[in-house]
Amino acid sequence: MLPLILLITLESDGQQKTLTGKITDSQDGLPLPGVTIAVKGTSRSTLTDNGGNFSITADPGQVLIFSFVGATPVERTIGNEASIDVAMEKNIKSLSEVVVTAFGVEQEKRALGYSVQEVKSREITDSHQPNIVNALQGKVAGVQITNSGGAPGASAIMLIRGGTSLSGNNQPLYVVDGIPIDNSTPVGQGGLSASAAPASNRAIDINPEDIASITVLKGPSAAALYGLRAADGVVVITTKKGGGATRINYSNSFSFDVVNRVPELQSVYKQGEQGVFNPASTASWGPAFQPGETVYDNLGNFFKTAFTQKHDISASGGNDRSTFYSSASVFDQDGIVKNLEFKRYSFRLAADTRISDKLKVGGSANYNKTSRLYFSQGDANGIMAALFWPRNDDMSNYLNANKTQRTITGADNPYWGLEKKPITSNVDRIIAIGNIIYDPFSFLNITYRIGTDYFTDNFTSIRSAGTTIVSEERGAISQTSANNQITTSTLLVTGRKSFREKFNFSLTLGHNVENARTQSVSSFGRNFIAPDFPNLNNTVQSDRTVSQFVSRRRIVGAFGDLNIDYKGLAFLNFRARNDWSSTLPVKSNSFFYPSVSASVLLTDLLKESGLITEDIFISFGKIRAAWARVGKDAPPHVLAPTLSTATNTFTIAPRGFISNVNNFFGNPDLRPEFTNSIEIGTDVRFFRNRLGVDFTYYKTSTDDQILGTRTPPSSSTFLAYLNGGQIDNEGVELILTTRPVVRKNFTWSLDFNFSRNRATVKALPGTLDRVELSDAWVANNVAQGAGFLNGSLFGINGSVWKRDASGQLLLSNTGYPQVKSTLENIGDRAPDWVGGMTNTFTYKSLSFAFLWDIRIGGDIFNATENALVRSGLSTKTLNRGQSMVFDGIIESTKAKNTLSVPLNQNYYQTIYSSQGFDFVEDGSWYRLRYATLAYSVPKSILSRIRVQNLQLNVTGRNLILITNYSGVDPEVSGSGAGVGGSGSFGMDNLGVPATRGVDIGLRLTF
Amino acid sequence: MKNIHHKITMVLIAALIFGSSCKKYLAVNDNPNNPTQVPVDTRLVGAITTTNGASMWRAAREVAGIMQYGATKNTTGANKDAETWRMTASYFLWQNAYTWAIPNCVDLALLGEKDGSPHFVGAGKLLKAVNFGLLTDQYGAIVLTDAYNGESQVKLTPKVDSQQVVYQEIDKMLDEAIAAFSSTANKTPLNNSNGDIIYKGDVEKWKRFAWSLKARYLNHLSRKGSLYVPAKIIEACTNGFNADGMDAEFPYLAGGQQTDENPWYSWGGFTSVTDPRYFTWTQFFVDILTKLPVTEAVYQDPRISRIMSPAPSDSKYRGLRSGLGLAGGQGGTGTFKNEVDYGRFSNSGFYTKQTSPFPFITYSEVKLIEAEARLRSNDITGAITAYEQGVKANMRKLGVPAAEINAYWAAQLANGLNAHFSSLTNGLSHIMRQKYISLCLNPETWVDMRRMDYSQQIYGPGLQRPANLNTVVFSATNPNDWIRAMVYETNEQNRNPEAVGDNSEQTRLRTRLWWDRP
Repeated sequence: MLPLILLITLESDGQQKTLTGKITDSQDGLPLPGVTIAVKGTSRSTLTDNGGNFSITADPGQVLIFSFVGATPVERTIGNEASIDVAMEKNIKSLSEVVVTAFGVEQEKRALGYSVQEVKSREITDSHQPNIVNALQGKVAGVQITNSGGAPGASAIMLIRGGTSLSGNNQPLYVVDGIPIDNSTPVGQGGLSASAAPASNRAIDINPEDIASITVLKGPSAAALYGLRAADGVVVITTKKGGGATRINYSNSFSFDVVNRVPELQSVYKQGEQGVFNPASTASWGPAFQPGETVYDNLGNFFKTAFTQKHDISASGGNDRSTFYSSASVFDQDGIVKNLEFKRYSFRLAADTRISDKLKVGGSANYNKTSRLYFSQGDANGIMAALFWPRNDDMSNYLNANKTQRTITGADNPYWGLEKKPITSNVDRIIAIGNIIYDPFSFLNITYRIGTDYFTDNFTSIRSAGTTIVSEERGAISQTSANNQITTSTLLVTGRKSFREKFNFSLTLGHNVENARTQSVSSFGRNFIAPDFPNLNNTVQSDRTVSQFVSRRRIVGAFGDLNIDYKGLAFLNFRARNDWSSTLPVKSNSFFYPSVSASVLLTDLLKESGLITEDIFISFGKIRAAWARVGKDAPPHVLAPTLSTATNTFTIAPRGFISNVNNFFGNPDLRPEFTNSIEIGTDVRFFRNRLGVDFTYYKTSTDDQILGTRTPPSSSTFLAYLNGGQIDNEGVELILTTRPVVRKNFTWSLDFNFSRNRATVKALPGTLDRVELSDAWVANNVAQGAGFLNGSLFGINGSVWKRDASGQLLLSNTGYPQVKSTLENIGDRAPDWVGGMTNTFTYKSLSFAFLWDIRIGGDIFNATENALVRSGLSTKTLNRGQSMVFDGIIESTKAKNTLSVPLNQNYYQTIYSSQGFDFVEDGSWYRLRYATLAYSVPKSILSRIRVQNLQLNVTGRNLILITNYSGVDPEVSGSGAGVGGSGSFGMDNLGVPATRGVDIGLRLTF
Repeated sequence: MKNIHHKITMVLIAALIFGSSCKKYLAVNDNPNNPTQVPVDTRLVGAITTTNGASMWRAAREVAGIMQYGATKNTTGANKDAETWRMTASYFLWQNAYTWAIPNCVDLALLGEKDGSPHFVGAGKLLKAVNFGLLTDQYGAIVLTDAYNGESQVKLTPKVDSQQVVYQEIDKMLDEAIAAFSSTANKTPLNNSNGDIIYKGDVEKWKRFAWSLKARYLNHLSRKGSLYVPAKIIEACTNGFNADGMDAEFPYLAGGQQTDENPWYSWGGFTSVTDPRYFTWTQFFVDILTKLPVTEAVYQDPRISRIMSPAPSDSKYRGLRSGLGLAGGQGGTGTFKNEVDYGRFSNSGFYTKQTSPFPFITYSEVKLIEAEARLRSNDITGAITAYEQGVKANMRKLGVPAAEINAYWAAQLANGLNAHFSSLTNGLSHIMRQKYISLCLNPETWVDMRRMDYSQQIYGPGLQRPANLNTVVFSATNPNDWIRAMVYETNEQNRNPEAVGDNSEQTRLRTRLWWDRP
């Protein structure tokens, strides 16, 4: 949408002639709406309509200035002509880029006192990622995106400049056309833990083809106007709009994916225990394979080539008063394991119309249906148990003659699981937005927008009769039906005023109401009466349980945004906001936070003052600085301890209300938490903008956090909310944009981005030295994600060997190491650096672009390897049978150890795999995230078949991955994006491994 | 311009109207999922269930192996850890008592106060005393004055109180409970919502329950010189249970959820057919039930068939030696190494059936406490009388017919019972062995065993340290190096380190508690 607040039409004062004309884009010849035409030296100006047409009155001899954001201004002296047509040249990397910051308002990037980065439609679709979060991978400095794995519909985690919360959500706010939408990731749906059934992040419902651009607002200063939910940054999504001639676009793609990497398994020893073959054993601690015996590739056979197809069709157009855009899409993806599936259907309609010169109304409606079929993972009953199936046994033989499950004692056959243990999630979602824009005077704009994001999620997990899961042997079903809605109302009143053509002021006053609600009903039933009909109704009443959950949050905000600029050379911005949140105690539910930012265009200032001339080495230079503070409220309904009627399966049934130990202990004294940040940066361009350097340094500090923390049991609870703790994030971001070759037929652009962030836990309440995350436990509780005091927010809390003060191993009487009773910090999952490098070559109609995605440092906890060690399929266990003398002292006697002990099944299963530090690996990678080749069929050919545009493309994803990590693709997250605080990225825990693949497709415009 | 002023005025008015409704608009934060307060009478049942099921059960689950009631089958796996004293910071009585149980007792007393119903105050304080008593007798110094009080916010670093202070506080809590039960001005009856699953609203029995506990904790001070006052114990016993049918015990259910059943039968680790938490009873317990104290004369206690099941193979009663498993055979002798040579622990008799009640404290225990107090104050006749009442009460409770009880008593007399009581050690041997039987599986037995210094003179030659002992912590050679207390839990150690202090197993498991030292 064009910023109508810029629309200034003044009455003419007669006598002149009326000139008309049409402005087009020099590149594609399409009309350019919204071009400003001003008569030089006067205050007279107008804008082109949607067809690029304009009309203005002027005297012959006067000069018309045609200016358009993102294009080189053009000046024309008026002669005798009655009409003037101008083809304007758009800059590829223009200095006057506009970006959408708050509430759909476009701002000139050069005016901003803080760093923002924009990703355009083309870059998003080039990446061929169904999840828009993944489409940003490697493209934005300061942003770390981790997809959870290779299951279709897996959640993607986005961390902007680290994380500000020890226990809460660190995901940014997602905003579509000015309306915040839900990107939550459910944790533990239907009673299944997050590590067993990680859900999708809900931004996955958005069709990437509908997106015109994504702007990432990184720091709280950029985000202050969105209020408290923006403390972790904002992802501002602007969708495509209509306008101009009616166009129909069709695009498709067909994709083929295979598993990217799998861990190496030993093929020497077969099934059994203690060296003796045992066909009932789940483990591979048996004798060596004899020559000639079949070694099954159970893992390799388990994977297949995944096929995905995508079809998008859209129609857009408009006239001088109205525009429309409509689209429909089908996305149908299957997985690298049989039956995995992710489907998305979307329909979208957006339209606006100008009712009068002063009033414009518009709106959009978007319906998505997303369905996902997946399977539990993360343990021996999950599908990735395929990893440690004994290799003398053909796992694919999963049915006995009598049609019952053929498995090995203890866990389900993964093939059987693919048929009998489906997890489905069906989401129906509507996002509807309406807006009214009213310009009563040239200096005043009033915009009102209301939008709602509503979705239902029907989740079902079935464990069919015959499963080996304890207590569910006769089958079980868990269902959750959830409704979620966020409704947002925003009123913006903007006034503008200039003084002596030098100082320009604009002041926006805004009011904002957000109403969020979640309601769910969960049911569970077990022991199917008829074994083959997995349905809640097929259980007796006493085998069913049902529970409900409601959450409500309302936020009211009022804010002001004052912009002052001096001749477009120096900019100053003040913002302030007050929020009132329903989730805080009444006495502290109102909180105020300001921000200030400034930028100076040094080169332009010097030019203006005549100190330098146009054509020099440095073509542009800007410095910027910002300070901001943003408040944050509490989660809903945590101000009082509650009562409950439930315990767990290993503590007595309470028969009545007891204190609710399963929930956080409420706190009526919570105060809002605040994040303070400073940011300074510079943007310098050389050689007529062919080389650009954008550098940012920032530091944020979030203290007195609203922290959901673990407490000593003697406090009467395990979990409590309180204010306390501090996280500092400090980092740098560097963006280099280059255009090494710019020729008529050939261009090469090469962009780099690098960023480094350190998230440090500076303070914790009480004497706590870590914040643990039970949703991120892996490997039989050997390790978990945790933030450590004076250490990383993204640490690994894991088991270690018992040692004395001097670091000597304290061994048992039998000479083996012992596991210490308390856990220690054994790794840091935060990367040292992340970066991306995008190359784009264009030769005539052919373009080739590829993105290298680089992550340096960042540990991964290889819980998959830990499971392999226990099962005896890890290559680490190949030295079984050998003996060694552990270097240490016998704890009971303090004597130096001399005992030679065998490295056998007992050692690997009960001692070695009970420590965590030896499963921490460096997760650095260099990956060719995508490479895409596109060919546009020349217009000369197309014009004969009445086609405007035809592009053919082929893309490869993840084709090259360079890493020292021993396991699967190191892009992993054990429990998905739903885990707050320290998160679960970097925990490799028996998930479906990431994939690599190719896409072929076409884009067609009529 | 007029127009603008008009508009601005409208906006201001709208803002005013909005401002007043804002408060209402934001008032949506009351928890919609769970209540924060319910009537006092509906809190009683939860305080009872959790005091039993979270606290007392957890205090007994592992300790039943340490007390050598139950024995495990395998010598590998985690089940054997308790009976071989491999106790670590992963022993979780601590968290279960502090989180699941105590807050309910505290709330009950507070709500009773607010409601004008002192009987709930009494029940709350009594149950609180039970919880703190269980904790201090296993850990010593515990969090008490800084513990949950229902009013202040969560304390992140609660400090611990010495055991002496804890004992004073427990005695005070019980005095307050007795006073509350004595109150005649009580608004809401205890069993108003059928929550009094112990006494169905009989306040007199609750009061006797409080006195009985008072006797138990005063009696723990037998090594504390002047703090041990037999007269006060005898007074408490007199006011405590004085007849059959008063025992404070937890009634388990069948037909509800699995966690409504007795955990020794079911969810406590006994659903596994192949490797239950305890496989069978120990030979030590079999010995106690088949031999008379002091003389070790063979006489089969009629209660053995009420408590244990005989071996399926030959209907004999046999037990295993702690730490040796089935492979060690009967009493570690290497004979009888088949499963069918042993009656099972679970579902075997009075204490481990699906709906077996779990006693907090019984009439029998009160009389045996009285016997000890009288014996220690040289009232031998009184001691024998109380002893007889205590023994016979337990036999009646287990359903032993009068003829068998009388025969058993006659055999005791014939074996020199009266003469034995003239020696303190021999008298205590009688009392403690009877308590061992009468308090089957109750963690209180561990207090007795430590007070008696695990003496073979008291418990007979069958009492030995377990085989496959945890020699990283305990001396392999010193037979007097016994387990004395528990390690504080990891969660407390990590999150409240200053209060916990030295939590090494060497220190914690071997250091005698305050009452265990002269």
